[in-house]
Amino acid sequence: MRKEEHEEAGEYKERITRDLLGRYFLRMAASRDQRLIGWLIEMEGDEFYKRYEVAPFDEKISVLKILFSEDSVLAKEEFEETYQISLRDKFGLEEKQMSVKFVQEVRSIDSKRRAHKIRKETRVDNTGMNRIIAIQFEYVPALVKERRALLFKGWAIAYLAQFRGEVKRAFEDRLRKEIIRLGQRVDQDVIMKASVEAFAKELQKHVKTTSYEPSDLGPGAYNQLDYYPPCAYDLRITLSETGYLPHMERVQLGLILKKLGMDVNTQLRFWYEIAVDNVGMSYEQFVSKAGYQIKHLYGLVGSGTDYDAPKCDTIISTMYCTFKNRDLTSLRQVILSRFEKSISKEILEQKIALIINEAHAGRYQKACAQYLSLLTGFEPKRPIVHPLQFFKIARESKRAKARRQSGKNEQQPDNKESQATDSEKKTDVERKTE
Amino acid sequence: MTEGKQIPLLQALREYYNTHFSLDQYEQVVATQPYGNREFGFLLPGNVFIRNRSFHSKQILLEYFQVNVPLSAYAGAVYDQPLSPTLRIQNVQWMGHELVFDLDINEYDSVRVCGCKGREYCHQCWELIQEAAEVMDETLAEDFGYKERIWVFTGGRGLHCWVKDEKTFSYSPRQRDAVVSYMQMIHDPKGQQRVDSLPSAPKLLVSRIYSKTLISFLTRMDEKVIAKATEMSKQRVRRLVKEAKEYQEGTKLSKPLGNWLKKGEEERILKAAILYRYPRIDHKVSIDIRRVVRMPGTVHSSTGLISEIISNPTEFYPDDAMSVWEAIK
Repeated sequence: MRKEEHEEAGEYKERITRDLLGRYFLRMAASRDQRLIGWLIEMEGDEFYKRYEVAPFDEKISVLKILFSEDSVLAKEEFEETYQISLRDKFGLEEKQMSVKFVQEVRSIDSKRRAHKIRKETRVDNTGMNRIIAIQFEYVPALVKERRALLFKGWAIAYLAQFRGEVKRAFEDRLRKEIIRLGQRVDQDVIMKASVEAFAKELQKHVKTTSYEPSDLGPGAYNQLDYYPPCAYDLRITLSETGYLPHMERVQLGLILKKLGMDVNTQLRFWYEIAVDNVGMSYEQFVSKAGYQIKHLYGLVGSGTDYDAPKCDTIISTMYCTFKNRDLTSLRQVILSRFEKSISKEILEQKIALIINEAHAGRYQKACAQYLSLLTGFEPKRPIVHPLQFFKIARESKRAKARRQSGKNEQQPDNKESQATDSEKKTDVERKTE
Repeated sequence: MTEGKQIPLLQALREYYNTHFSLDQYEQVVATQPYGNREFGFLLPGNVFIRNRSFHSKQILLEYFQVNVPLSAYAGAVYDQPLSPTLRIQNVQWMGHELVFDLDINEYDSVRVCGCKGREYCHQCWELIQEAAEVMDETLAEDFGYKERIWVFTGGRGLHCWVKDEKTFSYSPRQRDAVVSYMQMIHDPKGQQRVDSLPSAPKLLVSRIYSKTLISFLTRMDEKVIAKATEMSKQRVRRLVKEAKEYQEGTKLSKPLGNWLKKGEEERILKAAILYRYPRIDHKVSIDIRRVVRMPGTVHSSTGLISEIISNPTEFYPDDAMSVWEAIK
């Protein structure tokens, strides 16, 4: 937390103390309930990563050394000195110049606190996300597993930006342990326990699991493949073609199917019939073994948490996002194969160029919004933040088109689009904070 | 091998475990706490499998072998207290397990062109295990930086690689999964055999696939098989093979594949090479932290061969292994 320019030292100190105490108490309260733990970790994880992302390079390295360990993180120069090699000469790996400039929107409120003035400025990125660092591979297993880093003598070497998922996960793991530790302390103090539990009870009223209940989307929504977001669409196609998905992708698809209204028994049957791991296994054997994981998604076993479908932030950092995980050639191919029959070649090529630009620049949610426009025919207004948001907009838009064609709906397309997006594009967070 | 067996296996095993057996090889592969809180498992005569056993000392374990004459013997993880029939692994705290990789010849059934199946092997197909061990050993050393890697012939149909580096002992399943998944390019090896596309970031791995797997595929496989696997004409395959040999001998070409290939062909050739020659690791053995693994120095009862540490897996052939009958001569 940085000191504001206008802030006195005393004020800053007080703000820090208040923040720390607030967080401390919130963590104690969260320790009372698995669902609260999950909620707090998600919220704090997102907040941590937003702050981390804009911190200067040196601060990022310090954070990484705290999260992992002092001697397990090296900046490129330190690494090259330790191993007496040049990453550029040996592996052709070099830091991208900071030529990518971005537009920062500075919003200020005038003296009457009504009008908003937006100033755009271009500045050089000094957060160091394009700099090369090395982390001992044991701390970043997902990056190693997905072969997204150069491995050399036990070090995973990549651009700082590529460690994003593992950094967030490491923070969340530490936070989880901290909450559990605090929970044990609360249990030992009867007076504190009573007040913490009262607060936790209050907190539970405000923490909803999701705003996308299956009933929102109607029965059998999971069968409407046409409206699937590209991540879930890819996963279903891959699963049906290969019968195999890595663990986190199985979780991702399982949760999306759940929130598209697939009940637990249907989902058990779905995985039993489609996954190759189950060949030679009776349905009963499957349910007693692999079935545990599926029941876990529904909160029927284990911690009892009724999990939400993951948000795009979570998908991008730890799961499968079409625009992040596919290389640009195969991204082009999957878009072509889904839309070449329904959209003219010229329009499709233009759109693909836009999507590839966004994906290449790391703006995956904007790429997804462009992709959605292939289904809706409308220009995107906001980035996609949730896979079910994508589904809902895609379906509503198709239905509106059908209504217009059958003459039942006289509304203009632009109006319809804005109605759909305004209500549907709101995220869980937005709704909760309203 | 098993030629000249004169006495029944059980009798040979009894003599072996009573007069010739030592735990030296086993002690060489484990990183810490060979006895005390470590789990052991045994296949006893009558095909009774038991696990959840611990032994306070080397002497007590040796006596167990002498009295019970196991058909197979396995070592597992270390826990916070000794295991017993009444104290099961579910109720104790897991402390660590060596990182172990398993290569089995039967994983290659769908691409063995010699006709061997299952547990059978010949010099031609055993080459696949030798090559796999070479690629894996180099990957474990160069990419992961592991210093102590011990290769063991299981006595059956393959090899184990025990990584003894201290830090690996406490690896979580997620970390073990990362290591094995990084190396594993073929998924569902006995079914659909999905081959991963070549990644771009791990340059050492990629360069190894070109210099070892691809060269082996092009220089050791029959041209007809290559043509079928790559969907290329025999004439083009001949050119590929010729260039691969030149590259191997260092006479021509700076890279194994020429620039004359059509778009998409290079990827197809690499995928075929991976399918036919790249290591096929049984990932469950590496990831499962509660698994028991065959102890080096003990006998594999299906073959009568002794599981033993081998100094050079790229030159080892199962004929080199000693049988229990030879050991008691």
